[in-house]
Amino acid sequence: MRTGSLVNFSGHQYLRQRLVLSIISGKHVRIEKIRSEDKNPGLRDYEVSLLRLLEKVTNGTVIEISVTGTAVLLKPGVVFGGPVTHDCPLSRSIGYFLEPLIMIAPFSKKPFQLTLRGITTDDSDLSADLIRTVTLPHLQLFGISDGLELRIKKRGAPPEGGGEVQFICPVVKEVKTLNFVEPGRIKRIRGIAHSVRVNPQFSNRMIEASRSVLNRFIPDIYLYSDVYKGDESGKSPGYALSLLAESTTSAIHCSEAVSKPGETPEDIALLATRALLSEIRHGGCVDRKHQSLVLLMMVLGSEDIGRCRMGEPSVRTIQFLRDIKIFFGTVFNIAPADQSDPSNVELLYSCLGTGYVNVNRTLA
Amino acid sequence: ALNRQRRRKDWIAMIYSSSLSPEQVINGTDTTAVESDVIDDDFFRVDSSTSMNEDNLDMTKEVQSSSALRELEDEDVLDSLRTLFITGDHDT
Repeated sequence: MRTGSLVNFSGHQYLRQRLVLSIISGKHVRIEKIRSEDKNPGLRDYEVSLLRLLEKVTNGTVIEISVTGTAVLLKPGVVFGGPVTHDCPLSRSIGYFLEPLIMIAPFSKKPFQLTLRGITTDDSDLSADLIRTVTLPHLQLFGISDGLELRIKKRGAPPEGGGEVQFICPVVKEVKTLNFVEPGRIKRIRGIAHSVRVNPQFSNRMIEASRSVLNRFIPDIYLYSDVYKGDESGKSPGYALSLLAESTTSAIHCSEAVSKPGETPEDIALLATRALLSEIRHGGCVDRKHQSLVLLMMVLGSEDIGRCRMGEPSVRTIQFLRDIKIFFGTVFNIAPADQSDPSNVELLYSCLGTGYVNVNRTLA
Repeated sequence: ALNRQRRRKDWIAMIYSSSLSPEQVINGTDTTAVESDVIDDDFFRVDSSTSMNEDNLDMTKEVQSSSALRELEDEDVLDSLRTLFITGDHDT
């Protein structure tokens, strides 16, 4: 490893992406002033838990947390993978932990067989359903596919959780260069309505409300009512609707809404449905919530120009692009996707891949 | 003036060579609305920069803007989306 390759950051925001970029690039990272002005300073329980999980899936990683918890130093080791089980704190959903791990899992020594327990669906991060039906297909764009799987063994709604998922990810030597510039048109809509420890009719009510808006657009709609009973339904009541729209070129856009006190299943379903339409209107070949994952894999692609058409970057994506430049030196070219049509706000993102090779991989 | 606002953003310059926060890149640098919130006659003052951060969790889902979604209750707006589907009119 190169000496002196230490990257410094300040503040608690964007912690996950910086840890991920550190592990993949092998560069050490020091993050300071973590909520140092806050009346409750330092790392939160879920952030410490994520650091412990990263320690479990790697070998030789050194993590130093300051006494006050307001500074952390990560010296990444080798991504190891294999069977790992982790109990996620109930302050964040499983998605919070799984999203960064999905970014590093393909570059492991052994295939990931990760079991996570906790909350499977909440309002902050991607639910187990969206990760299974939308995030994993985004990895397939880069040649990460055989044996890629997320199994939802138990569902767990907030606040008590009780859910369990298993994530299995193959190991790759390198990722393919992406060339995804045709968004296509939406040809089908799929959805999962699930409800646990509430009246199972709630799923059907969500499906009916969602169809009342979507039926006008397209006939190929299949909204699945997913029932988990008894021990598989976790410890708390809750329900949610996860939707995805797939285009003729296999671009996927998604949305989700989760039960809240005082709102009916119809309210939740209409919220998810309108959010899906908003996402579709946003355009491009990649869902907003998956911009960072796709951009990272483009950077790691072979030494060729990768191209992808997407909507405007999200706030998180802007910081991710800046952090990518710090860790990898890669700068994206971002240009209007359609120069002739001024009303079109879609952008073409392109970059030269770094030709990243997974040196951890065990040679068979 | 309208023409200027509609002019395309220079994303590369704003992302890679400006000191704007990611929020400012998206929403512009107009912060007058925030400034007017400061109350002078109070001994204690809430540090708005940190109280903002407290709510700013590291989360992937964006908080759904109800006004943007309310627009999608309008039948005309829904009709305008038909061209994005294979069943819509493709001539335009």
